[in-house]
Amino acid sequence: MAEVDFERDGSIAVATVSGEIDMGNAASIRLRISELVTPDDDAVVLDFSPLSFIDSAGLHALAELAAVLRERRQRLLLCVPPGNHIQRTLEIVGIPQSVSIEPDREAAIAAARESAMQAHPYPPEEQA
Amino acid sequence: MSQVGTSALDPLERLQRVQRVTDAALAHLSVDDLLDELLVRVREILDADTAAVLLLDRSRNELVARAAKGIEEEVERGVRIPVGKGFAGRIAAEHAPVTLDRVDHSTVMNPILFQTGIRSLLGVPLLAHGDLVGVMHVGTKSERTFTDEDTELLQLVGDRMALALHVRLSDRARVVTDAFQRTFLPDVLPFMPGFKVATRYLPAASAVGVGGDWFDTFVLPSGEIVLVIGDVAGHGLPAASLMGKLRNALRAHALLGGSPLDIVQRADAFHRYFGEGELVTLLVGFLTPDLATLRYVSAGHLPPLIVDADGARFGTDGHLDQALGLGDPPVFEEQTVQMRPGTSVLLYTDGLIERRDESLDAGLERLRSTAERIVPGQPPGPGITELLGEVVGGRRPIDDIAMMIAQRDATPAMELEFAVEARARSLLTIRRALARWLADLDVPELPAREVVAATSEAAANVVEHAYGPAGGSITITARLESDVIDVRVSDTGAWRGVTRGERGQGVRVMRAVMDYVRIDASDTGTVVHMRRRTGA
Repeated sequence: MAEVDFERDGSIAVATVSGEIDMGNAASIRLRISELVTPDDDAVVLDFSPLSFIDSAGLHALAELAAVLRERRQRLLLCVPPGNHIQRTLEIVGIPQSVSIEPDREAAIAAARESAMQAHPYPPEEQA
Repeated sequence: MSQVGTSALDPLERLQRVQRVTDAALAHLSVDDLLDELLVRVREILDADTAAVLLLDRSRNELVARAAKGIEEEVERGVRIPVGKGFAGRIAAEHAPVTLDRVDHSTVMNPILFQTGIRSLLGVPLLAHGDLVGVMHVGTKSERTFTDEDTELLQLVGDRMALALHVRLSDRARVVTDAFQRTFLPDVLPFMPGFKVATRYLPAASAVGVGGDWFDTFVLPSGEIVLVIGDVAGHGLPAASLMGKLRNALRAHALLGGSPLDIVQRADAFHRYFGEGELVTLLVGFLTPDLATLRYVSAGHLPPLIVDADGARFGTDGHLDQALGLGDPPVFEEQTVQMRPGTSVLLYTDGLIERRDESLDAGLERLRSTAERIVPGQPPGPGITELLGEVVGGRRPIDDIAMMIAQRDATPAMELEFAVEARARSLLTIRRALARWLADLDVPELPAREVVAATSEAAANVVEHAYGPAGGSITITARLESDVIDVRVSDTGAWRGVTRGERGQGVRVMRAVMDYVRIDASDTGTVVHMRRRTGA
């Protein structure tokens, strides 16, 4: 019903979610994303652009994921293109303030990278 | 206090209803469908609360519960009663009707009877030509003295039922078919508004055992409807078991995703590697979620017959050298059929067109011209019955026949009503069905999507809160009234201990996207009634 494609851009975990999320698969999608994120990741980008449906139970699971990531100081960014129809559900149900919404994947990754820089004021020494 | 002669119907009307028990429509039903149908009528005629049939298992001299109305547990728990013991056992042993005015440990063996609250029972033997086939009984939850007239009526129905059962149970091919159909053929046909499918399996005349013909149809998570027809050459257990393996392999292959071509290629590789050179032909079709396009791939199978307003014509067939696992190299081609509203597709195995005295081409042409005349303008269920009647005629076919008619409705229905199991996995079915129906009615995308979202939320609340672990169902009814979509989501649960907050997020979505939301909750269930204009 829904698929998660995972990749990593440096210290940023990017999960592209397609299909439909409802109360039937929300918990397992959340678990799948949680398992793919490592403690070394600075930020998690969820690319929802190919997602065709999410219900309130799906957004509830997203809020739970956001809460866990926030405790670990791992930022959660959501990629939802403007005018995408799941945007309406996001507006109605609401999402935690700690989650930022970006219009596309590149913007999301750029924003994630920026916050990663702030999280590591002393970057690891460059190798000779 | 006991009541006498409680039936609400007058004797003439009761007799007329008994006559209906022999409806021609019942002639083609399987044993289980026949019993279900008859028990519904028996319960009505005798104004009873429960009705049940137990069939005789000769090998163990026991009665086995086979069908029940009002006491379904009897069948679910597979109740067995030794002949001679208890109420049903006594009827079987004595070949005579028995009435009981008191139902308890001392009079019946089966505890379900008194646990259900049955107070009075009437039972008759099912005798065909003097042979015991089983026992039928009816019960009431209020005390009632069954009259002689009641007994006569039940016996009359019982005699007719016994004859019908005798024919079915003693006909060996029929026994095999029943078992076969139960095991391998899909018991749930896909539900999709705007789409209908009917299937049929007829065994060959000769008693060589069941063949390897099969069909399958189901909806994928993507909303595509899969249609499969296949034929394993040969008869008996080897052919039937290979058929069973291929059917399951195909279901697994389809669930992996991909096109009909991918599915057939996987099946080809499967059979090439695991098979032993058996001749298997196969056709796999995918109907797009909008029902507008059928894509299919044939592996050496007979061509599909496409019937629409312009007539009936065959799609491209598969060359026999491309039967499963035989192509060197395997080359399969995907074909496309545009399914305008009202178009039907017939998939079938060679038993349908083969006659000893006729060439294959003549058989195909006979099928084509008959289908052209019969199939359009009626639902596939009656269509398949009439078509088989004409093409096969009264004779039993020389080979097994598996066939399926898939049809796109000619005009969209203004009303939609369906029930699904109150489980999370049903939500996808609800959204698919509703979206399909709204698209057929040309409802614009935004309101359609919002109606689907609100209905899904209402149904999710039912799944979560309405029922206990025993479960229940969700009924969706939807109507288009000029420019307003009216949806009701109903359940029969108790919603115990549910606070407003728990339903909150879903209700918030419903209220935000719909123009009107009303939730009526009572002890007997909840109805969520919603309306939305079709304008943005």
